[in-house]
Amino acid sequence: LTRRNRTEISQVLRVGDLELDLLARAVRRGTENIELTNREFALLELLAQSSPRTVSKSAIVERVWDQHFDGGTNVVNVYINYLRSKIDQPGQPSLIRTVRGVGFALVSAEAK
Amino acid sequence: MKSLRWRLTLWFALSLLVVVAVLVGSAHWHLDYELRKEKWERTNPAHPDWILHGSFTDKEVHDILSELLQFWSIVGVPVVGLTLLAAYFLARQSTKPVRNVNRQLSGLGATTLRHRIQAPDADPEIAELVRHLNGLLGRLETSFTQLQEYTSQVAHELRTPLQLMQLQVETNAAKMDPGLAEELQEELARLSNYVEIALTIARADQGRLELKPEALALKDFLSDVVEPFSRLADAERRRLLWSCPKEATAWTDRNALKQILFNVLNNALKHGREDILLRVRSRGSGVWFLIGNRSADEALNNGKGGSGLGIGLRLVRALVGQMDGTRIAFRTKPHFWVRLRVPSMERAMNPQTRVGQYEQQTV
Repeated sequence: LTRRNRTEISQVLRVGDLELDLLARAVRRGTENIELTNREFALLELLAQSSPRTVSKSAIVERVWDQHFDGGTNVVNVYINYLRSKIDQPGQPSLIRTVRGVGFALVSAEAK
Repeated sequence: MKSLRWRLTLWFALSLLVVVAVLVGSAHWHLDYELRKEKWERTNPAHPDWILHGSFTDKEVHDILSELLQFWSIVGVPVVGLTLLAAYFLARQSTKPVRNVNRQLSGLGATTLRHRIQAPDADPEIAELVRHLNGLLGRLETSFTQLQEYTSQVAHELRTPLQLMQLQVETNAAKMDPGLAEELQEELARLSNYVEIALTIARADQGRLELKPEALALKDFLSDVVEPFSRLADAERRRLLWSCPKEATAWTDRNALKQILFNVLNNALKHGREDILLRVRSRGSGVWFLIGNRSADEALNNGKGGSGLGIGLRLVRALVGQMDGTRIAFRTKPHFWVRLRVPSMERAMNPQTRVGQYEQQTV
């Protein structure tokens, strides 16, 4: 019998105190659980996977929405606003940074 | 009397009645002449040398002709009726090949241009017309195929340079003016989307779309489709109101239906005003989607539309044309409404169920 080493792939993404459990599809900030819709979760997952790099709007539309979604990139701004209202805490800087002309980045407060 | 069938009926009936009237009139006139002017002479077989001479009085002639006229009048009414019936039958038979050709022509669409008109027993005049029509259809099919191939090739060729441009703008966005970078990315994304739509339309028109119908629980499906539009509407201080019965299940291709709903909702959002309404009703063999606005832009009502209306709804038509048992109707006046019918699970279980007479149309 041969024993093979398995590479454990992390199913939890962390950016600062924000945690995304990809298996349970659950999001937590500190001790608070956050309810997200499927698209909000997909958007946050994309930003977390790329963190701290900036993700362009067209890449977000392509990855989070369907191939032929014709809502324009304005839909990304709308969803980012919804995400901010759910994951940001009052009095704290927003985790999602807008890089004008480029896209959005998920950056922890410490990294800023 | 605009119908050719009725005009032919009248022509046949009038022609026949005129001929009969001329015959009756001639007979009447000749009888009158014979009775008044001619005298008869007869011999008696018992007395061969005797000759009897005789004639009718004016009163007798008048009585005989009046009686005859009365007879003609009584017989005339059913004769006219029978003539009209016979004429209608003849006219109907005469126009039958034309109706047959019309029926076949009305069934031809962009995806069925390869079909030809069949009229095996037609008269030479109709057969010649059919030959010309089939020639025209052949030329139309060739042009349409060339146009589809050209669109497909152009869209395909544009894909790669557009992706490269998008990549270059994204890579160099930090070095550019942020406003310009954002605008360029927006326009490139829009252009890429149009290219993809053009490619899908060309594939659909060529019948090359691979559609896989499946049982689709509409409540969950719609909640996913509607969400981004609901939020975009919220951002404009409008509402997207939708309702769908829990048990509504369609038998259709998920991606194609999603694409259709995306485009229709996008039109309702971009070109409509006030709230957007989406209602789903499941009835027998079909599931009906009713989507629209209470009021729409002038451009939409004029049928001109913006960029979204033309190419977006063109794509919707192309997709619907490929989806079995699916029908769509647009209404732009006075409000923008789209009525879409997709087969329900009942139709999938019983394919013989008749699809309603609900054709693509713009009212």
